[in-house]
Amino acid sequence: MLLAALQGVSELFPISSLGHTVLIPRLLQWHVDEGDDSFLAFVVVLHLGTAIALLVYYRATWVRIVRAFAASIARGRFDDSRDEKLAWLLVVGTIPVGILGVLFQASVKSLFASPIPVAIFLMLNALVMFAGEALRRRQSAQSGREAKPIERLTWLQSAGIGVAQSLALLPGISRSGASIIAGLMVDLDHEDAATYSFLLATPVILLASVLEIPDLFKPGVVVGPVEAIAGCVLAGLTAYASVAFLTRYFQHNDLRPFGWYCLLAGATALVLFSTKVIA
Amino acid sequence: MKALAIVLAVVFVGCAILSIAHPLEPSTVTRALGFSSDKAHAKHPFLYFVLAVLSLIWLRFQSAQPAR
Repeated sequence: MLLAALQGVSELFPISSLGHTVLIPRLLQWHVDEGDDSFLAFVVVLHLGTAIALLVYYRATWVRIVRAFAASIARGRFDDSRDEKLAWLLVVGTIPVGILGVLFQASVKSLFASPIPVAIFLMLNALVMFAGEALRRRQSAQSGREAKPIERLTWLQSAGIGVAQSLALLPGISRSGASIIAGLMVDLDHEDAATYSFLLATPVILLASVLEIPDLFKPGVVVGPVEAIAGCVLAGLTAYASVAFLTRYFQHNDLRPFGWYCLLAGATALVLFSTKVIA
Repeated sequence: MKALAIVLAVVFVGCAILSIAHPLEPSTVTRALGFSSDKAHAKHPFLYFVLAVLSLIWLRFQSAQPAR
């Protein structure tokens, strides 16, 4: 249940859920086999809870997006609707992460999902957030450009945010952190960059978990229905609370506190694992 | 550009079929593309299917009459 709560929070906070899934069990000496089918199936359930929480939180937006998307396909052309532009921006932004994720997730994870690379990537995640925030402040100070709304993103900019999101395939790099920084670089404000990041993450997390549901019924998988439902609900509740908190937080604040956390956590983990204080 | 959309749709349908039938010997490339049977998964055919559908939607957007 602790893992479920951790997943719900760390999936949306810009601190890398995958990195925490690798580091926390080892730091707490849980002896979890992350390659075990039962563990992977439980993680699928937690992702499903997170995706449902995101869908519920942004339900009104998703209803408008899906309606506008269907209308534009039926019509066979774009109109000037804000929701239609947002729908197609999300499609364009999801394509890179969909392709890169399906093709490379397994090999990247098998290469880097051990504590020392994760600790290094976590520190790198922090440096990217610090650098992104500094660049954004410099851009604003020099050019005095106003932040633009999400629907004024270009297709290329949305694809760029999608590519940035794919960096989260590296355990220790945060999906939301990378995509929020990419959003800031193309003149979104923090609140819109975070909102776009969460909207972009929703179909990816939802589809990835739904497509892995058959794994729950593979022979040898031992995830009880009570454990599965409780994990899904707990991950969903913590994810909902996280997205509610973060959307308010980013109205007036930036990524630097999360950068300090990642830097500290990464450095601590690097010292502990490289000096073999924790094996 | 219409021809490109059609070619892409055909290529993605072909990839989807290969990732369902997975007839190729396992290697780094065939495993990543989902064309080998050692780690069969629904994600690959789904991705190729979605990309094929998006290619056809792109074709439809090019074929539709402009608004008056």
